[in-house]
Amino acid sequence: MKVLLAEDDQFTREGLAEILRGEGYRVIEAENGEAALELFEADPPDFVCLDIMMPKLSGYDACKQMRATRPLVPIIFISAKSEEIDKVIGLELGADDFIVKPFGVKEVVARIRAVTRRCHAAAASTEPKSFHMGDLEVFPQELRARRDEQSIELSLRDVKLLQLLHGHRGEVLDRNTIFNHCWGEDYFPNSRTLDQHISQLRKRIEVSPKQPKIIRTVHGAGYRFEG
Amino acid sequence: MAKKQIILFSLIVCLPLAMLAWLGWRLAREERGMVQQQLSDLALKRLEDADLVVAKYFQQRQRELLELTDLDDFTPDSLRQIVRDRPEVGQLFVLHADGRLLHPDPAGELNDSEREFLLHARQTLVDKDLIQNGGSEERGSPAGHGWHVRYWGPGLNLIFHHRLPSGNVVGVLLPRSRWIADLIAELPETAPAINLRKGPGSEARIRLVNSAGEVVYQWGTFQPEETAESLAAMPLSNPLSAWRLEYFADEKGFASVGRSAYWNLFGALAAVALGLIVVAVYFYREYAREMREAVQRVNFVNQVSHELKTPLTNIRMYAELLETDLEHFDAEEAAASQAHLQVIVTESQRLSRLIANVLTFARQRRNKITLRKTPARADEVIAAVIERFRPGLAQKEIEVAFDAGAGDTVMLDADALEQILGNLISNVEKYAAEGKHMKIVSRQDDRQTTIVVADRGPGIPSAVQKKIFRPFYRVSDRIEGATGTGIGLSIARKLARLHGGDVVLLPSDSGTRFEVTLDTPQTEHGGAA
Repeated sequence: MKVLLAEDDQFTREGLAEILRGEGYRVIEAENGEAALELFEADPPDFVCLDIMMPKLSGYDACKQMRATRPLVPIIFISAKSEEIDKVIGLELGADDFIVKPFGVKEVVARIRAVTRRCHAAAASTEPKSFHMGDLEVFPQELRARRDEQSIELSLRDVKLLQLLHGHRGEVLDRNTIFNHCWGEDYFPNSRTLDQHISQLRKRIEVSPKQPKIIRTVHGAGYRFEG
Repeated sequence: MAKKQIILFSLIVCLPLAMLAWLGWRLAREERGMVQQQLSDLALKRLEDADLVVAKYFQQRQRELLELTDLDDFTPDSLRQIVRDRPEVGQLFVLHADGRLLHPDPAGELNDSEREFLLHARQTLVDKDLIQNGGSEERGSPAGHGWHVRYWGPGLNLIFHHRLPSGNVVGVLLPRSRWIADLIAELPETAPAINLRKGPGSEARIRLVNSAGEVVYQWGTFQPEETAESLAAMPLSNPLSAWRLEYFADEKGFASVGRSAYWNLFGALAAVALGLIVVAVYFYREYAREMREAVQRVNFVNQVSHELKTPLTNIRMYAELLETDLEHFDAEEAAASQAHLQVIVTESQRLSRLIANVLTFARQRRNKITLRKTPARADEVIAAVIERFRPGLAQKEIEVAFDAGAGDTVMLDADALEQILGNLISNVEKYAAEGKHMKIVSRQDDRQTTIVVADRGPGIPSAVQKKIFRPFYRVSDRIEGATGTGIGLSIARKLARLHGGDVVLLPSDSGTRFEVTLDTPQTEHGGAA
């Protein structure tokens, strides 16, 4: 999924981009409203994160113009303006959510996942609603998995990874294949990125992360889902 | 300027002015009424003076006529001789005691004057038996003599009768032109002016008006308009009671006397109004200056708070990202860095809450807080807030217990609940750490969510329990090392009340128990999660 991120503060923009990429999104960055509009036209994103107070063109105006061409594209406002009236204006302009600074990483992740779920629901995909990996049932469109009554939150990347492994049941998938599918071909990971990610994912989806049943390591080759 | 202030200032100026104007108008009206009454009284006095002149004239004539009519020779020649000799006598007549008209004798030889007299006066004087019976039209006059008024010719004719001891009656008809001329000669040529207090005098005119409404004589320099009404009028004394006197004066002259009251009133009102306006403007300017400064202060705090948000966002975000990164390292090698980072995260969260409180407080002062309820689960919000506080609480060895019972999706402003709980838990962290325990219990029904935050700290002295929700009130002044702005509970209560609920302090034997109630209606699709 592609996210257009427009924020004039460089550090905030880069930090948010890192969070989004970590979640498995492709991020297009813009440092002001005008640049955001140009990128919006040139490389249509799946959803947009807009700061309100930006040079050249405010987030409100950018939102209006984006809505004029694509009325359904999800838009999240991210701003230091926390006055209720700002929220109301943002939501009346058709923003899907409003994240107020200062925010925590978990809050941003939760809100972005919620928007992603709504995107999936609106897309009315032909994909099956869920698939099983052992005793774990994965709901890719909901970015969730379930074991018994326990609900497990997943990132977009987690879902991609699990979908890939599930689709190649019993096959060993090497690092490059996994990277290309889950991180994108233009991503140059360091050697530990995938292992760390798998390790974190196992903590959440495996009953016993040290003796994984769903994602197994094939030493020197890659990872495999036995089925 | 707000509408309320405009109304207030208008009232401050207009209300006293309106009351003064009303009182002044009443005073001026009474003053003017009194002046009018004085004028009428003075004018009447002038007319009474004129009437006295007329009365004196007729008294003088009466005395003369009584002498003249005291006759014993009733022969026509002697009687005609008297008429010829005395110009003030128009006609003499004599009635016998038995009522017969002795002179002028209708059967005898009559001159023109006698014939005319008989023609006009016989009917009323003789045949009506007025005089012969000793009657008199003049009330209160002695029966032996009196005046009679009869109309013929150009108008009023005056007749005087005198009953002699013999029973005969001698009467005299006064020649009209003569007595009118005499009367006019008696009356003054100038009409006295009216002077009121120290006010200016006024030119005047007095008119003598006959029974036909014609002006017989008038004196005084003032020339009233034809349609002018008299200032005063009165009938003349007998025998001319059918005539009247009218007094005219230049009202413009003394209208100013009454009007001066209005001018005085107007001047006083203008002075008071000016004073009030000056006072109102002074207070308004002071008020406006204070308001402006207050707004500037609030704007400054807002601006600073907003400006603080961006660097704070970055500190918090990067600290959290770093925390995530450290999770990838071995627990042992990352432990120290994790602890350091935790401080940054916890402190940035504390700063976030402080800024949020300052901004909410500023909005509250401007009555600009509005809540937005969206479908949410209270327990999820509570869990997230506890999670955020956990490192700080753990550091102070405060054990946290959460008894969750509000898991339905309801209409809720999650931000408001976060802020309310943040303030309550922050208080536990700051003031009740010695209790080493915090318990949060949440419950829910169809309409309401109730959350109790309890600690085992020193509690709040009963004497100050009612004050703790006041802005800037701090019990903690006596607690060594504790910090705080004193607005947390006030904001928590304000937000809860805006959410249709409240924050109250529950009675407790030990520690502190705050109960938060929020109006949380079910969502359209029902609440069950």
